[in-house]
Amino acid sequence: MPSLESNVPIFSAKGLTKVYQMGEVQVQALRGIDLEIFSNEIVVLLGASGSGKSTLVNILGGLDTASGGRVTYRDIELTHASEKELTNFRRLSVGFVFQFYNLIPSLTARENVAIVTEIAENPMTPEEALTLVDLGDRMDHFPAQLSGGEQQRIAIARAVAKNPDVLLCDEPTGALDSKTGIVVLKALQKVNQSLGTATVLITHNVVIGGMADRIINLHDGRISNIERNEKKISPDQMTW
Amino acid sequence: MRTINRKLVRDISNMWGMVFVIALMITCGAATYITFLSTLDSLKETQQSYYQDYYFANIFASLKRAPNHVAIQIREIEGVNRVETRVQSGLNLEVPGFDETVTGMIISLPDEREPILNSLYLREGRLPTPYVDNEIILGDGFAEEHGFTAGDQLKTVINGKEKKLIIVGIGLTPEFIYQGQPGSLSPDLKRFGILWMRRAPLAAAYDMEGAFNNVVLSVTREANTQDVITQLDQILEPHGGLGGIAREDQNSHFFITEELNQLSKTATIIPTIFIAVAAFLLNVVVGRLIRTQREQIGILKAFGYSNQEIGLHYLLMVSVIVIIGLIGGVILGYYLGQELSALYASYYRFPYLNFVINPWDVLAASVISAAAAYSGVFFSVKEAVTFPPAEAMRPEPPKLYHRSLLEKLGAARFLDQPTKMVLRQIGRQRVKIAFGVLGVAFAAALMIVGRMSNDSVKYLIEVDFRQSQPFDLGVSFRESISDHALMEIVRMPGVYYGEAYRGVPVRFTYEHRNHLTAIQGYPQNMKLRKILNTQEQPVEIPQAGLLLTEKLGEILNIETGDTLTVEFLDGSRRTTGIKVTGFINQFIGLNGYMNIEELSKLLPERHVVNGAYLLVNKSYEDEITKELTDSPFVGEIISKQKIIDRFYESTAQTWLIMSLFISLFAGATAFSVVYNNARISLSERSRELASLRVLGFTRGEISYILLGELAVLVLLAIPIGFLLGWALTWFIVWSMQTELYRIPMNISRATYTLAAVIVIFSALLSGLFVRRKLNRLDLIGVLKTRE
Ligand SMILES: Nc1ncnc2c1ncn2[C@@H]1O[C@H](COP(=O)(O)OP(=O)(O)OP(=O)(O)O)[C@@H](O)[C@H]1O
Ligand SMILES: [Mg+2]
Repeated sequence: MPSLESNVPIFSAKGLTKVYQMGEVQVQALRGIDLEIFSNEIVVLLGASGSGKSTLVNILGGLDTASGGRVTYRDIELTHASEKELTNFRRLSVGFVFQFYNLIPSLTARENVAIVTEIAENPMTPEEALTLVDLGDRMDHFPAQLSGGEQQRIAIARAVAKNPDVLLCDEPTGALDSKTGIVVLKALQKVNQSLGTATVLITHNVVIGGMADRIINLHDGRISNIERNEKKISPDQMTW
Repeated sequence: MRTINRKLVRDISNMWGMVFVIALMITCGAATYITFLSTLDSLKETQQSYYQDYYFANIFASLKRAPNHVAIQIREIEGVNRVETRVQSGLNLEVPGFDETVTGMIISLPDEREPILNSLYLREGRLPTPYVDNEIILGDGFAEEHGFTAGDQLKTVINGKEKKLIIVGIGLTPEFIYQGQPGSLSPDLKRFGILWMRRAPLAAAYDMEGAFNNVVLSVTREANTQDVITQLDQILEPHGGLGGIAREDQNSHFFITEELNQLSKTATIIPTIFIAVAAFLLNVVVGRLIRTQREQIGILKAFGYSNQEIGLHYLLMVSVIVIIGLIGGVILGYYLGQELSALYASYYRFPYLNFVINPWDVLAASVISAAAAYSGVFFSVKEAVTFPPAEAMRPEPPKLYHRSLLEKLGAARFLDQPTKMVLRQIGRQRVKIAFGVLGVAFAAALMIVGRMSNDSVKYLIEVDFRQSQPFDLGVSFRESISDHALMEIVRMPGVYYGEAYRGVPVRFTYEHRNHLTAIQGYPQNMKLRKILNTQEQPVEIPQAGLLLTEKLGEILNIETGDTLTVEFLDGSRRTTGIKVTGFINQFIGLNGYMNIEELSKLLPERHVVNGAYLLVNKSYEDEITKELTDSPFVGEIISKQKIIDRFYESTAQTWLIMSLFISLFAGATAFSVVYNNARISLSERSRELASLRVLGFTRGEISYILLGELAVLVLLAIPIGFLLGWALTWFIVWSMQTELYRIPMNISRATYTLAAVIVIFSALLSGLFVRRKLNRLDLIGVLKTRE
């Protein structure tokens, strides 16, 4: 069992900025982020709406490009990576859970997971992944036939199914009641513990910080503070 | 099956409506292409093999009378291959129960063998028994029209004597693929029959024993046809030769070739336009289809699918559509090609039809359609993958709308919210709307193009016939007769007025170019037959000099003021130079016109005429015709009304089929474009519309919001389509003019109306389909998930 983080960061960001150009208006989403994330650790990202959490995570996952600064993942410099390197990075190393689920409507729950496991190197079966989020009995339903929370759990199953090195979760419990939320968090923790998956978890729910190794607070595109959580608790022990 | 392929199958079955209409576009484009080109190839191939297998002659010559031994001289001309001398003559036929004048031509068959040139294809029966004087073969077109079969009798007037003939066989030859009376605008199978009789009895009937009055030749590959004709003319000159005619100028061949030229232009231009329009629309529509999948492309990318894999996925999706469309196109094209070729083959007289479908045409149609579709995929997938996936997957930020122009102008107070939504939507999506408008406009334009032949020919008939030729009956005399004959005719009851003309066959030569045709000599101030100048204004025949049809001027490359060498082929064989004083506009035929008095001065006989135009009391027309027919001087009588009627009669079916066919394709195109626009708007705006439903809007109101936009689109498209149609028609007219036809540029009001109606109807139909989809809008489903 890995205890705390090892000394080698897997992500390291320096002076990361992101500007959205909206016609004549410029939106400064990130204003210089310095950050390291280590393998095995769980990081919880907290911050007000619009503070830049999703933007940061998307850049870490190679879904979006920074306007300035640099990010590296192990020995890949994401800010200058080729399209092919980015694709490979996402394909083999990262699992995403999106804030808005983003399931493929024409595929069933099982198929939404399968479409990812089919191109991964060492995946679980879609059934295993769905059982992990307690959806073993809804595998053949289409997204439109599932509740928001159920869709969210499929999104999580899809993210963890490939046994990624890194899990990037954007409000994975935002749409869930506390009981299911805890089930989901436990699944995430289990993956983290058994595989050493580095996990970045965006949430508005301060309580969830309890399961983190570190809690990072974002304020207006900047990191306002990083606190180390000395007393990690299991999601079982949380209530909200 | 890989999950990504399962997604493909599901997407296709979920979007079957859109898949269907896109495939339909490909089907229409490819089918038009294949139909026309296979018809053209088949007719050309059939003509070729018919000519070859049945030894179609290269040179034709008529003469007064030459003894049979002259054939030996002809055979000795260098380059001559086969020679067949014949006896032939015009004759009158009688068909029981058919009142109109029926004329024909009777041609000799060698007594004891089959002809070695222009061989007979026997459809039924046998050849006439040698030396028997009452057995004939009847031309198959005439036989078919009147229901004659082998064994029937036919009443004829041969050389002035009535004679009953027994039809022993029904046949056809490559000499008469086009059958029609001189002067008619279309093949006339009903009123013109071809008969073949053995040589000896026929010669006896026409006092041609031991002689011939017609000869046909084939030449070797290396021979120069013009040289052979020159030598042939010299040999026949003392025997009343009328000048050899090369195959190119032979009536049937000329018409067929013109028709095939016409068709080959139609067959290149129309399908090219169709397939180009289909390709353009396909590109736009496929592009939009893929843009609706932007979010899904984002997801696939986020999970590590490479750009190539995603590109391949959509390529595969579109390939399925393209293949469905092409299969449809090839099958439909193959079927319609056969139908259209058969229609042509029966209109003309071919013994068989070699239907060929050129694999290259199929390939070309496939490549064009596929390339159009794939370029649509390529650019939109490229656009979608270069878009950062993070952004593709974010719920689209509320789109930026502006107040519409109408509102800015102060009309806001009078508009309700849904109308404002429609107007603002249009304002925001100008490019998309513009493409939609263009697509529907193209459909209307195709409709106009499709009806072009219909409109132009109608115009041609109305202008060239009704207006420029106010006569009722045209009479041509067997020989040149004294101009007193006109007075006698005018004295007949029911004839109001008459004017005589003189026609002389001539060869025009200018520099090294020459053309065999006729000069028509018309009296000063002719009233019954108007000649129009190039501005379509009536002109007077000048006192001196020659008027040429514009097209003939182009062929000879001669200009006003130049002197043309004219060789009269009437027996006098005089050659003289005549100054060209102007050009006239005539859609059909290539003639020269001059003052009859001037013309007569150039010829040995002064006061003779060849024909007359008459104005008659319509109720006496049949009687007058009958009386004239019985006169020994009268050769042919044409009734303007009957020519027009027959023309419409013989072409009506073809037009109807073509019109129907093209309306269908244009309608399908309009339907496809409108349906696609509506479907994509629906999928892009389903959240918005569902939200409105939840807020309490009725189905009708949200339909209005969605379909109102389409209504504006269609209404904008119609006038633009008219303009486009006009431009395309102009282009086709410009590129299609041939020696024989100059198609006038004319688009009838009926065509515009029809185009508008078809487009509106197709749009309503697709609106109805979308409305049905809208009615089934799953409110909760839409609000819960995002497509
Ligand atoms: N595509 C975009 N175009 C313009 N501005 C954007 C875009 N995406 C994000 N922003 C802006 O960037 C800022 C940061 O957005 P981000 O989505 O990262 O916030 P967040 O912290 O995830 O908020 P939330 O908790 O609401 O999800 C916001 O002000 C947002 O409006
Ligand atoms: Mg966010």
